[in-house]
Order: sequence, then structure tokens, then C-alpha cells
Amino acid sequence: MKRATIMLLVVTLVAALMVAGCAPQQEEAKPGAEEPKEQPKEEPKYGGTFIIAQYADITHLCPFLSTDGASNTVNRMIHMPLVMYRGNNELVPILAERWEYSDDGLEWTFYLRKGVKWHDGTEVTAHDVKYTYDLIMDPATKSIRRGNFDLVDKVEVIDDYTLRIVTKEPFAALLDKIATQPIVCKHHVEKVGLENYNHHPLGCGPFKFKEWVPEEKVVLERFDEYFEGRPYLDQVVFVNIPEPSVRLMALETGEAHYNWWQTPEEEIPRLQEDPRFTLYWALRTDFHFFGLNHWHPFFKDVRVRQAFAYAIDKEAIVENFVPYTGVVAHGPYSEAYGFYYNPDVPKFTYDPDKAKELLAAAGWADTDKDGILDKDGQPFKIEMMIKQGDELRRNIAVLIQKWLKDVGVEMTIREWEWSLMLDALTKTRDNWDVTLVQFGASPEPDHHLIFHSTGGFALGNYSNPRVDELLEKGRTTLDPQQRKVYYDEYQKIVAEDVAVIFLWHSNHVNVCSSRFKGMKQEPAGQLQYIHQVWDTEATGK
Amino acid sequence: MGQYVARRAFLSVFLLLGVSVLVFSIMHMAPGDPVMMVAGLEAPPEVVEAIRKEWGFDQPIHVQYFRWLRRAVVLDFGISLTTRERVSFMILSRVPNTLKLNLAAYALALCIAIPVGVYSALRQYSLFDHVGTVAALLGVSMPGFWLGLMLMIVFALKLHILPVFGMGTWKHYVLPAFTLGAAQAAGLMRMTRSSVLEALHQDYVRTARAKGLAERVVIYKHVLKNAAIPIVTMMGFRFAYILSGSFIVEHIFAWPGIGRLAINSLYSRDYFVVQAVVLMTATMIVIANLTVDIIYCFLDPRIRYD
Repeated sequence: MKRATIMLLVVTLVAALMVAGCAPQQEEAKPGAEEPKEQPKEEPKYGGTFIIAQYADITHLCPFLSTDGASNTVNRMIHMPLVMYRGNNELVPILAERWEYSDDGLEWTFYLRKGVKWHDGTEVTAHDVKYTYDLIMDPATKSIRRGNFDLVDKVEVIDDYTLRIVTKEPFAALLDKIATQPIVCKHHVEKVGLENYNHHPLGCGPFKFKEWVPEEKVVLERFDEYFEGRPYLDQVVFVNIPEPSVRLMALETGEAHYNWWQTPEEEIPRLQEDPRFTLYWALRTDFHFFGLNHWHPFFKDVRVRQAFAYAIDKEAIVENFVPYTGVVAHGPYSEAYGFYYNPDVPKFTYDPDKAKELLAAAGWADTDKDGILDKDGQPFKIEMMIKQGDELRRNIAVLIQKWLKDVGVEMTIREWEWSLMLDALTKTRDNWDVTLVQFGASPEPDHHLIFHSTGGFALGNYSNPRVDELLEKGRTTLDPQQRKVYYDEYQKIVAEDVAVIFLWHSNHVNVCSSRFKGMKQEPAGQLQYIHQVWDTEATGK
Repeated sequence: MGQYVARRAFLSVFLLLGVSVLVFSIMHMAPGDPVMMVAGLEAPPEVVEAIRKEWGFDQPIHVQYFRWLRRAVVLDFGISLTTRERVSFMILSRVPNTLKLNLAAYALALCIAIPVGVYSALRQYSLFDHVGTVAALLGVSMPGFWLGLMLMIVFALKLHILPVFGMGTWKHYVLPAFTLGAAQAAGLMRMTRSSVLEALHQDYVRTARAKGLAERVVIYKHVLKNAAIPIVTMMGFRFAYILSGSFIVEHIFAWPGIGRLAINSLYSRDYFVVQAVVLMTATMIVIANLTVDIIYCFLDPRIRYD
């Protein structure tokens, strides 16, 4: 009897914990970038605190010394750049009212907006902009952004509101580089010093710095004189919660209002149905890909690369692994590139028979009947390099392993420590066969870094003289229409030549408490409109 | 006695030196380049080299070690690769948070474990004893991250009575302290129960009872005092982990302590922070061990180590 009672107690306790931990299964919801739930027209209210859950603590509040996404997000609320990506990744004027470039494309003149105030009440001038860019270009600053200004020869102040940037050669990506580079206040940096700037940042953005409690929170408060209008919110607080599931719980309990990163895929259908939350989608300009090492003798033949592209079912990958946060990719640009996106690129849809035909045409046959193709006595055996602990890619790799086996290719999977993998991709370059990686790009179409044969991160050692030529022309041509011609062809070639096998583009989802309004559903993201966000429960004036 | 303490303290210094070599070697033998992790892929080579030189990674490894050790002795652990702040400042600013959490968990574990353990022993094989045994089994078996999440779901998400993360009010302490204290309480409770049981069956207890002493006096004066040694030992060891035993719980509950700092630093390969945290933890354990050994001598004069 006693034993039975104890057993009953144990079973009840365990069952109670299990039940508490298991949310009921939700019905399949429609994926994708639908509009947020219909919101009735309401007058914005002033006041309230908006709590953003981040995945990590910030590391640096100086906008050219920070290297991580968490810091950059905070920085972009405090500091502002000359131009910024908004909407469908269009570059819009921010501190610069307008700009023009000379006929030879070497001189850019920026006309600054007048009356923009730093958080200490002084005015933003061209001297601040020059000071910022000069600091970045100074080797002593050791800014990792210095590479962005490699092609900048000098920065000159024409007058308080006019600035000239002289480049060494026509540099079309200049606007992109300065879009990611907020400006710092000259007299403030000189006063506090760069070494102390971390705890005393001062910018001209919609929110000013109030407090940073390491590992806990960063508190920003509204800047009434913000040049785009007084923000509605009183405060924005960044809390860092490393666990994605705990971030969601914080949203559900109201302890946080916005989840900025890594919403678990399986939670999305439930969140879509929940009226307490509004989901904001932002299609990214990145791509996830199956990389082939072009130095490997097996992959020198384009027919083999195309056979792999046919053998891998990218639709199935997206459907099974990233149904809500992935969009099938056929080329290097997603639709988030807007004007430069070319939908007319060759598409490789799953066709194992076609893959077998191409491999046979390339001379691969199973002569010894062991189920693995061979050529000149060499079996088609390759190894896939994936990042250690990356569960998503581990599962995808297993699926690809099966698909390749179906067409006669044996692939083993090996997990690499991330920094070693980076070394293999960028330095040693010859000690891997195939891989699964993501490349995160800015909306600037220049892919010199990854697909030019001399690019610092040449993906899979790809080298194609025509692609090199197009990328060089694209980065030195300032006329957008002409650039588009080059980049359209570039997209076609890398897709057809299977420089890599494009799998999917990220469709980033941010979850926001429906209590807060004013955000926009745009590829460029939502937080750049933080000054327009308002709290429906606010009572302030 | 004094000689014994001095010898143990002297040996502890060598032990810590060994630990320092080990910590330093492991971090440097680990694959990957911390400078590249910090600088990023797109950083120009001269920036990468400047960072490497600034932090002394261009020097031979033994030079790096002795330079680091010389500074570590005076608690100067260098500058963080990611935040560019003093590592000692970063650690010191987080130590109070970790201490608060661990002390709360420790106190909770003691408050649960000692009374339950003693009562279970005094009422051996009763329903209370069985429930206590099952609870201890669960406490030891449930991983901290799982228990933490389950508690969050029940008390924060469903009942709305406790917060999910962070620190500030007493409510913020309840879930992480319980998660952390559960396993400690379980082990300590079982230890208390067995120690008390063992003492209860000793001849001197039978004699005390035969003398007609009140049961309360027998328990308090004879049983508990003699059962205390293993309990104190275990408490001492637990105390040694007070700065290092809450990595997972701090991660789950977003508690701004040493554990989170260490995990974040490991991810970003912030060598100097990781080395400092590990060395500090090892020092705490060595000191705690030494202290427990010394307390032993006081508790039981029969124990001699010479």
C-alpha cells in the first residue's frame, strides 16, 4: 500500500511537470510574409517603455568599434548615419539631405540637414562626419570598419553643412558603406575619449543613452529634439536573454515586448494565431547554400555541379526545416534586393534522373557495381564540412547525404569547430570538399567579396573571368541603371554555372506585442522606425 | 597544527600554478584564431595584425604565459578582446550577482536538506522518509536547464506569480535559486540522512539512552554533533562552487553573473576573460578545500594529517 502511494506520488509529480511543459499542438498555419493583423486606426499616444529582448549583451557602444549584432542594434538608436536603408532596402537621406557625385565618379558631395541636434543640444555639422570617417580610417583606432573605407582617399569639409568624400576610384558601394556607419560627435569623443566612450555614448538618434548594466540591460530614453520628430515612447530597454524559448516566455508574460532574434520555427504558427502578438517579417539579403570546392577535381566540370543542383531538393529542405523563416533561393539575390533582383535566373528543381544523366555525361559510371559512381578508378566519395553543434545543418546534411546516395555519390559528414571551418573557407581553402554555410550580405549588390576570384571570402574558390569583369564594372559604375545590367548578368551566370547551390534566403521574423503599434512590414526591418512606435496603453503626453 | 596549515597552503600555491598552466595551454591549444573571431572576416589584414600585436598574441607562447601570470598574481587579467574593458572589472562587477544567487540557493538547500534529512533518519521507512527519498532522487536527476524551464512554465507562464528572467526584486530569486538549490538540497539531504542514521546506531547513543537521557538531548547532543562531520565536508565543497556552479542556471534565467560572462566569453573566444574566470574558480575550490580540512581538525581532534 505504502509503495503504491509513493509510486502514485512520483507519477503524479512527473506527469504534472510534463503536462506543464507540453503546449498543445497547433494547427498548421500559413507561412510567409502576410501583413500584420488588421489594426484599427488609432491616435498615437506618448509614453510607455518598450522592452526588446536580445540574444546577447552588447559589447561596445561606439558605432565603429562594435562588432556584434546586439551592439549594432542599440547603437543605431543612439547614433544616426548620413543615409540609411529603409523600406524595400532603398537608401534614404538621414543626416544628409541630398548628395551628388562628380562626372568622373571620384568626388561625392553630401549636403547635410540643418538643425539636427546632438543629445547635448549642439548641432551636427560636417566636422563631426569628417571626424568620424577619419577616426575609422586611422589605423590606430583599429576599427574593423576600416576596410569599408579602403577606397576613400580623403574627406573634406566644404562648410558646416557640406562634405566632400574623394575616392581613389569610382566606388559605387560608398553609400552602402556609410549607411552602416553612424556618426559620432566630435567634441564629445574628444572630451570623454574613445576608451571611455562605451559608458558615455552620445549621438543624435531618437533615443539617448541612460544606463548600461552589463549582462542585464541597456536603458535608452527619448530625445525630444530628434530631427524626425519626438519619439512616442519614453524609454527603450534592451534586456538580454540568451535562450530563445525563454525570450518567448518573457514576451508571453509581458516582461518583454519584442523578440528580435531566433524565434523558434515551431512556435511561429502558434504566435501567428495569438492576438497578443504581431509578427513582422523581413526578407533578408543573405543566402544559405551548399558550397562546392571548385579546387576539387570532381567539381571542375560544370555538369557535375549542375547534377548536384538537380540532386538536392531545396523545396523539401525549406518545407521541412525552415517553412516559415526560409524562402527558396535560386540565385545570390533575394527579392529584398529590390531594384537589383533578377527573377530570371536558371532554376534547378529536384530531378534525380537529370542529375544521373549529367553525371553520366561527365564520365561518371558505376563500373564496379558497388552503388557508388567512379571515374578513372576513383570512386565519387566526398566529405561535407559543417559547423559543430549546428543542429539545423546537421539534419539537412543527412537529407542531402541520402539524395546524393540516390544518384551514386557517397558523402560523409564531419563537424568542424567554427573557427577552424572559417580558416578552411578563407585561408587553407583546399582541405574540404563540400559544405553548408550561410552568407549574410548587405543590400548593396556588390558581391566582390564572395564571388570575385580575388575576394577575401571567395566562396568555394570560384573563379570565372566574366563574373570578375561584371563585379568590377558593377562596383565602379555609379549609374544604377547600368549597374543593374551588370548585376543581372552576374546573377544569371553564378546560378547557371552553379558557383554554389543556392538553397534558401532567410525570412527574418520579429515578434512584437500587439500592444505596440507603428512598426512597418518591410525588408529593411522594423527598428529603424522606433521613433514612430507607440504604446496603446500609454498615458503620457 | 600551524605547521600543517602552512604546508597545505604552500602546496596549494603549486596546485594553482599547475592549474594556471593547464588553463592557459587549453585555451591556446584550442583550434581557431581569437583575433579573427574578434576582428571579423572582413577586417583588413593590418587591422588583424594590429589587434594581434596589441594583445600580445604575436609573442611566443611561454612569453605570453609568464606575462599573463605576472599580471594575474596582482589580479590584473588584462583587457577583454570584445569589450576592451579591464577583465578584473568585468568579473568584479558580476561577482556580487553570482554570490547573491548562489547564497540564496545555498541557504535554501540547507533549510530544506538538514531538517528533512534528520527527520527522515529519525522516521526511517515512514511515508515522509519515502517521499523525501523520491524527492531527492528527482532533485539529483533533473537537469538544471529542464527544471528551470518547467518552473518558468508553471510559475511564470501559467500562474503569473513569478518573473521569467533577470534580477531586481526578491521574486526574481525564487526560481533560479530553487533550480540551483534543488540538486544541492537533494545530495545534502541524503548525506544528512545517512550520517544521522549511522550515528543513531552507535554504542554511545545506546548508552546515552540507557542512562535515561531525554530523546531530545540524545539527538541534539550526541547524534547531530557526531553526524555533522560529513555534512560540514559536503557543505564546504558546495560552498567552493558558489562562484562557479551556476553557469547553466544563469544562462537560462538571464542572470547577470559570472556564469553568463564565462559562457559569452567562450562563444566569442575572449581568452583573457575565460582564463580569469577558470583561474578564479580553481582558486576558490582550493581555498575551500583547505578551509574544510582545517575545520576538520577543530571538529574532530582525532583527525591528524601529519
